[in-house]
Amino acid sequence: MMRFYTKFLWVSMLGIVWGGCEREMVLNLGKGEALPVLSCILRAGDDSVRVRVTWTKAVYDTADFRAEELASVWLYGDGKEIGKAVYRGEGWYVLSHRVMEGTIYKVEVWMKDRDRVWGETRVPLPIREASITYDTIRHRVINCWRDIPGEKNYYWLSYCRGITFGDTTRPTRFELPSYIETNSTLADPFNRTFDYEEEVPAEYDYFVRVEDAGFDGQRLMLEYVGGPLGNDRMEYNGYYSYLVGMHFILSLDEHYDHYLRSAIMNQEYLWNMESLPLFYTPLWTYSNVRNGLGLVASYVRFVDVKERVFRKVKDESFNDLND
Amino acid sequence: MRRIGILWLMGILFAEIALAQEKVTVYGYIEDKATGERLPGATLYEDSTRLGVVTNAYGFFSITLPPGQHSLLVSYVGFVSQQVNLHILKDTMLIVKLVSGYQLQEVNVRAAGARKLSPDLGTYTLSTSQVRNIATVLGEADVFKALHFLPGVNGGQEGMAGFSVRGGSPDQVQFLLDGLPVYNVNHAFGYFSAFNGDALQGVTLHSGSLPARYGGHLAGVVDMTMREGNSKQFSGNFHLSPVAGSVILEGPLKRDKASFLVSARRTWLDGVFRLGLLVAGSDYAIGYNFYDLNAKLNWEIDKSNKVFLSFYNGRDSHFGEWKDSHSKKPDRVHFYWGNLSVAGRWNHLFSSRLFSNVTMYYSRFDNNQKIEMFNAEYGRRDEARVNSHLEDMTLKVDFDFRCDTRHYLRFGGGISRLNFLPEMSYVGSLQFKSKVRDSTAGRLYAFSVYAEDEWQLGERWNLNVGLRLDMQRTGQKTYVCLQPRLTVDYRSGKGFILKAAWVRAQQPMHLLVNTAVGMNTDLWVPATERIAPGRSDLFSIGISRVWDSGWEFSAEVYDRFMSKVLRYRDGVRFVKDKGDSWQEHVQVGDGHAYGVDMMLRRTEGIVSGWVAYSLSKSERRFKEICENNWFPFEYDRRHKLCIVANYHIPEREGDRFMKNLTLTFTYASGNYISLGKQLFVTTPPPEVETGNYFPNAWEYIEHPNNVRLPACHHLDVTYSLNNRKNKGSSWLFGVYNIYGRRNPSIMYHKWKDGKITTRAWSLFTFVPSVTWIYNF
Repeated sequence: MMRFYTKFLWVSMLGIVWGGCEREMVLNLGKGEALPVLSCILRAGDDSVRVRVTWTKAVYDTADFRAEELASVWLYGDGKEIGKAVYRGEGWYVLSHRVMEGTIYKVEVWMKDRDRVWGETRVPLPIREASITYDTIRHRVINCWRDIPGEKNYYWLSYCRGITFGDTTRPTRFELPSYIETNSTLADPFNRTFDYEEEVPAEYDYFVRVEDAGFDGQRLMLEYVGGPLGNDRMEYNGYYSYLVGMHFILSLDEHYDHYLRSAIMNQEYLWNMESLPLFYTPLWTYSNVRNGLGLVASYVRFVDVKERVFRKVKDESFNDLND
Repeated sequence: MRRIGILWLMGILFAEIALAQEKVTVYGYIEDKATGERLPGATLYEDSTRLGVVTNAYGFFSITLPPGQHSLLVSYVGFVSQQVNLHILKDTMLIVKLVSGYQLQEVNVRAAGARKLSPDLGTYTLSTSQVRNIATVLGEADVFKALHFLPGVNGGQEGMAGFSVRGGSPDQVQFLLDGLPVYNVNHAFGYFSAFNGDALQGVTLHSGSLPARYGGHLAGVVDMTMREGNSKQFSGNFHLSPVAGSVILEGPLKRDKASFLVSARRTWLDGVFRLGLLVAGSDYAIGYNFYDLNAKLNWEIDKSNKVFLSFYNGRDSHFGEWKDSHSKKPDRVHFYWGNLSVAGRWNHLFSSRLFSNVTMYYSRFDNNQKIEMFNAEYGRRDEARVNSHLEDMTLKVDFDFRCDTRHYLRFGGGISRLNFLPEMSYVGSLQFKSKVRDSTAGRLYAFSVYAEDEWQLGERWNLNVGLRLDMQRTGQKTYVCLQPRLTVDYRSGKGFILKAAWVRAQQPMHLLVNTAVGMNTDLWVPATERIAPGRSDLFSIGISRVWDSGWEFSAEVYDRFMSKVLRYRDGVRFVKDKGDSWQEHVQVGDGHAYGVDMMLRRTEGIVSGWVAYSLSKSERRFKEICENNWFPFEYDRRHKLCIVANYHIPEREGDRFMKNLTLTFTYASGNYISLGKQLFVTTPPPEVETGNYFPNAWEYIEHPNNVRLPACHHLDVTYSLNNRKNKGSSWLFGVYNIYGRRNPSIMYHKWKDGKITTRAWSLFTFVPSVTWIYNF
């Protein structure tokens, strides 16, 4: 009997070692039929409308996305034709038109041998009684606004920051914060995590989302920690620094709201996929484009811009040229 | 319609009772001779009249015969059949004591007479020994894994105890333990079932013609019976497997009158984790454990009255703890979920033909997630909690009435109060406190009545006709559903049976599961004013054939339509927004499943077992997805072939063990997962370019479950050495997936160096196990 047990143990050990766990697989997922992808974000007050038309590619394809150069792109506002966009390269089509709040825009793309690809959005109404103020002692940004009664509104709050080092040229590239800290009960917890080492433990990835459910027509206030209030000048050892901080309250249409939620959660799952593949489930990313993929969406914004130019006067110290 | 029903009932109750005066009834119980436990599902067959009956869940039978000499063949799986000769002139009580096959040297212990009663199509019974002999991952006797070998049952991911019956989702299967509903039926995220196989008497799966006495779930019923405990002498056993240990104690409280059984099982995975981390000198601890406790107490007050008290508690716990060197106390995460059920039952025998059972039970399911962080600055703990609870309190009464040789009537009803508290969350620190209560938290009242009649229309035709009325009151709305159940079968003289069935069912609660968050997210939610109960209609037709040599064959074609099927909307996590509820985050759609289930089984002889094959398709559709087109359900497997072969090795004089070799083979088409087949350009967030926030491309998943995994197959072996004495060691050696097939459990895409690769995890490639059982 003992000999049997010993043999069983040895075979077991060998089998487990040989078994292994993760491996790469090549699946025949097929190329599938390439689908047109339409992307158009309208911002109220802009003087032009930019539409991008590209194509999907197979998941293992490492080439760039194919841009559509021969499409015919039309814009309609409240059911009336506004005009045809002009191709500007890399799949971008541009049309001069001032985007108006409350207007329903439809973007139609016509391509040879394909059905019409289209998407529609209603630009939200302007944000009312909005203000952004700063409590520099508590290092808080205070956002106030009044909800529009009778409308379903999706508010997204955040800030972005651009900085130029070495000269006084205004920055052109802006970055969102990794997270925003707030203890407001208005915030949608879909992108919330907790860091109890922080003074305010509730952190929200990139944006704080506020839906107006239950607050129809009411005055709302939300304050969050930080943002570019001028205290990040020590990052640079060069001679000049140009800092632009934009705090904003955005009102998104339902399509942009759905897309952004799905995209932020998708992003989170991609992070998890690196460490916890056993629990990873890929998500569907929101699309409102018919006969294709992508997004036709819009938003209005209330923005407060702070611009600062700094000059280094001595080691580790900057003089704010605005003062 | 109602009048016709009343007249029909009165006709049966009075006219047939009058006719029955010329006949006599033999009634009583079938018991295990060694332990005194009553045996549910045992068969009695009377040869001259060709009448047969099956014992009910309490081992009770009642058969009406002409007065005179009769020979009854009594049989039960795993026991030696017994011939009982009787000369009966009046109603007679009979207690038949069967001898377990394990106590005899002979190998052929199969029920020679069981074949006289044809198998019910779509109904399968497995004994504890059959469950134990089927190889499982890491040697834990697993009732669900054993049921996976039956036709019509599909598991989820490879190796898991997911459970789909004929295209239904797992929550559409009712799991009953001694009549008690159990809501959390798995341990370890589904890798083990939550029931200790050693404590069970047997399990019956109803996948087809569901009788009217079962209700509340759409797809099927898994009816498990717990052992009653030895009423003759104190005994017990403990077993040790690579993942868990269990102990069973049983014995008489009063010999032949009252007995108890207590079983406890606990994993030691947490101990292994802790030891490993301790050796590695880690400053954090993570672990996982589960346990289940079963207890049953029964007392036979007199020949007409018996009471039972049952208790079940199962819990999973997943935890982590870590501490910085400068912190006084550690930070902790703790996720725990489980079930607590208590039931009291009273059997009363009114007469030789009327048996009743009254059940009162309380069942609770909890799911809790707790995160605690020690705030060193303020010297206090901050915490975040999410809890979900379901409580079910039910009182029900069931009657079995043997009208005469032609009618066997079952009727009864029940009333339940279900208390739902889905997703209650709390976040608390010194600066921040938030409590969220789901708007659907509240009660659901359910009322049900049923009646069914097993009606022998003639020599060849049988009818099981039943009607069930379910009413649910939720908020201001009442849902009423009349559920007809009809089964017709025709028996030829040569062992052929042709059967057709129609079953309508309603389910007042739904289970929402989110697989994407790495923890148990089981959320039981009630039907509400907005979300109606689920409904299904199952149509089936099949044939079966029984041969005298012990072979049986059955084939059944079915078509099931389901409505008000729920799923989470894509991209929804289990923690909901403030002020709304799960209702905002679900999609309501339809389901459709159809296929054919076949089984060839041998119940006698030195080699026994079965071959089961299912060809099936299961789909779902939702208005919001793919323009309401059908897409595959994640449990859909087109082909599934299972072979179970059990070889009783002939014994030699002086052998210490009875030896048994079981080979099991499974082939199944791959299950469906969601995976992008194409990529498309990302639209950036407002006010910035895509930058580092989102990847440059998203995967395009045209609909859920769009990719089928490669087929899965494995061969498993179990070699058991059962001690021939009642005391001493027994051994179970098993190897799961003996040829090391790398069946993918999970498949996913991974971005690496700017391109996507597809990765797969094969969790169970060649898993050997040894289980030691010691009986005392």
